[in-house]
Amino acid sequence: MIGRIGLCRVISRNLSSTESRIAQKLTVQPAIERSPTELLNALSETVGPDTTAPHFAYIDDPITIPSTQTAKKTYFMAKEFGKRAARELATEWPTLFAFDRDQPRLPAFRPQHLADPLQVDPTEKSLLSIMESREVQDACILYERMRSENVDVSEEVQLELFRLVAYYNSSNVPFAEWDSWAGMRNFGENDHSVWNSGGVPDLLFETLPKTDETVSIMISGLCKFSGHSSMERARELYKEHRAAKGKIHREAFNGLIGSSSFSVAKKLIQEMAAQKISPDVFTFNSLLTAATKAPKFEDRMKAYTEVIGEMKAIGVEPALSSYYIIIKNLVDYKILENEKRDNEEQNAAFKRQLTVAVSWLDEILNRISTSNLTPVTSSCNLFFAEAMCVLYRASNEKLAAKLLSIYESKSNEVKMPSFTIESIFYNRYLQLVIEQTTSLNKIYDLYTSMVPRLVGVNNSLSSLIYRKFSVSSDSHWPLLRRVIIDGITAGQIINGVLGEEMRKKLSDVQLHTLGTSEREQYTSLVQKLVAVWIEFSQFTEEKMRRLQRKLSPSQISECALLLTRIGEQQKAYELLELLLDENACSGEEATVHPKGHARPWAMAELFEDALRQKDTFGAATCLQIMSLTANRTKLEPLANRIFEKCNVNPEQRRIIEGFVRLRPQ
Amino acid sequence: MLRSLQHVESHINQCRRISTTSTLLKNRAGKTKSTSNRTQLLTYEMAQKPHHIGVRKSWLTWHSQNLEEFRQSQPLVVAQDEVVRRFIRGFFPQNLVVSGNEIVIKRRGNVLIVAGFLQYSRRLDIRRIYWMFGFAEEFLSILLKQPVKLELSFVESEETVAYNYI
Repeated sequence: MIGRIGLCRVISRNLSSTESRIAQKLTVQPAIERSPTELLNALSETVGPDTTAPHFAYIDDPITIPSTQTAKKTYFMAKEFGKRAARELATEWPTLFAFDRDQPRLPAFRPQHLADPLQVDPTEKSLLSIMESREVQDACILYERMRSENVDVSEEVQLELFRLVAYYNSSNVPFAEWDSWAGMRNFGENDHSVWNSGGVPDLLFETLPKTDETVSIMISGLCKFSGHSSMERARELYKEHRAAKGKIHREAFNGLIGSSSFSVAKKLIQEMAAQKISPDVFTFNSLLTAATKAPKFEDRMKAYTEVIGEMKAIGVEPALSSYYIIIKNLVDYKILENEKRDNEEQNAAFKRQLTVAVSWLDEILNRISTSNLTPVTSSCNLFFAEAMCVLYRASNEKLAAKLLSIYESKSNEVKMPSFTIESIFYNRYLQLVIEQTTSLNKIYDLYTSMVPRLVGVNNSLSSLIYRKFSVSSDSHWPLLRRVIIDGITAGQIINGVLGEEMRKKLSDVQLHTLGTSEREQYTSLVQKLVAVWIEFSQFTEEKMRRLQRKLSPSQISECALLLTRIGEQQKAYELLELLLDENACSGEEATVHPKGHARPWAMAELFEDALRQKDTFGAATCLQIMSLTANRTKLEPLANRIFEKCNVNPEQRRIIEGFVRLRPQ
Repeated sequence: MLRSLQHVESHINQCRRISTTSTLLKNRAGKTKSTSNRTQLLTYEMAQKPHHIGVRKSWLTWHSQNLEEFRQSQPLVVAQDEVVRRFIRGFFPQNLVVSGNEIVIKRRGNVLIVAGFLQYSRRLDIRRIYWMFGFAEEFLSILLKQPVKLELSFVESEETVAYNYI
């Protein structure tokens, strides 16, 4: 009862305090004005690239994620070929796929054979439909068939066909312009083709009346697929047409300019100005291409400066492809590679040119960082990769970071094709940053976010990271483990140099600094590596012989050391026995290289370990292996240490003393 | 009298009926019979009884077929599902887990997504797998006239997907 009264008093006291709070004035904040899409924008800002996932084209399973560039290409193309096979089947037997539930009808799921030019009706309509689908070779065949059957083709259609075949040089569209099959588009490489003379374009050129347009088309085609004879013909055509008071179009001028030397190009520009044709960004790109032909650095610089100045004066904004042409050809290609530079003079010239290139890049980046970038030509995206290469050579991390931020910003719409050029860009950036930094943590963060999603694992990258480990005083087990595992998936394990690096770095790891799970990881990694190396050495059958990688004595000693570190002494000594077994080094079933010897530091540590465990047999094995390279004076103190530390019975003592005595001095 | 009884039996066999005796009036779907030596593998989903639907067994049923705007006609959907299951079962014969029964088919709008596990033996030819995936996806897409995506991931052996053995 008392409790209930007390409770009432408590409740009434609470009520009175809340009443006083209510008595205070409540202010309601005014609603923040939001546009209809602001919430959606805020949500979309939380979405970014998943740095732990592979490219979306791959199956998201650890076993199927590609690590190297070749693996990426192989898997992507394999998937695409599977798709093509299915599509071929569906094209061949359409009645088996006649499940027509889709409203509206989707032609994407109903693949059809291309019209055969030899079977289809030889009318203008079918010719136009083949031209629509940009089947250039089929169009040529059909046109020639129509000509041979004396079917009339109107002038408009002939002109349209002429435009098509001159643009593509009577061959099918190049890989970069395929709209289905992204794999071929990305990975397919076209050779530069020379103008096919005597084909359908020449035939049409003769048939059609010579107007400004047809002559321009012919000249542009001849310049696009330039060879020696086609350039001569183009220039002659131009002279004839000019003499006949004709006026060629801008594209033809661009073509002529691009394939001439800079002085001839300047003359052509003057003629172009005289005919009141205003230049566009493509004209200036052709001028820059002409300027690249100057052999000397100073001439090229002067020409580039002139062109850029002219562009500024007229008000034509340079495209990224203009910058690409400049940056690619600034430094003399003869002194670009380290190996080609013989003397100090060339080195100094290279440094000078590189400095100029970097200062130009600085200017260019300042200009493009403020504007929205849109692709103008197909080579605009190559600017980024080329610029990153230059910055890598100059070891300029700051500008590289700026370039990366420009590329990844929302205002940039120029993207490089994935897997091919983009990976070069990111690879250079990653190597540059790793070279310039000393912090292993930073390397780990960057490495895990970029490899293998953007950059494939490669030998130079792994060697670079191992070098950083050697130079750095602290250790980073997750990074080492990651690099070694990436090396395993990339097949670096059978590479002698990198395999040795892996063993060396693993033996440098201080096990007592690792946590329990890390120690387990270390153990399993060492076991896996040693098992792989032993398996590779045991491919002695005929058909597997080309895959065999014999164990070298240094490899055996290092592996034995690692095995003792993880506590597998027996396995270690089994491995060491191979060094003393003559059958292992020679003959058909050999698994060990006959040349080379065990690493002294590894053998010394194994010896100490055996002594610590008072293992006489182990110590004696180590002694025997060390005797292969050491002489008696070195072996005697070691033998004495065995006698001190281990329980040696007189028989064993006699054998060891005799063995040492028989060694050469 | 015996002659009329003869016809009764054939009549009884021809019509379908629901059993109401206590031993037969029960749900048998979704319940796996236990074996004497515990060899029947059960995955997590298989181990849930039907009364767990909506409680523990709901995740795999969340897809756009449940939404009014995206719903397609039910018989069509069942037929499509069966086509997909038979195709996967026949196309990856060595890689199936639990004889191809544990395949999840979800619809996200017009896209049909096939999820599940495939097992591999010691060596997996990844190039071959990618080829087969591309073929299967394109083939099923053209067959069903809607985009089909495979989200099958790999486990080393069937034991990895086992939750229980009964």
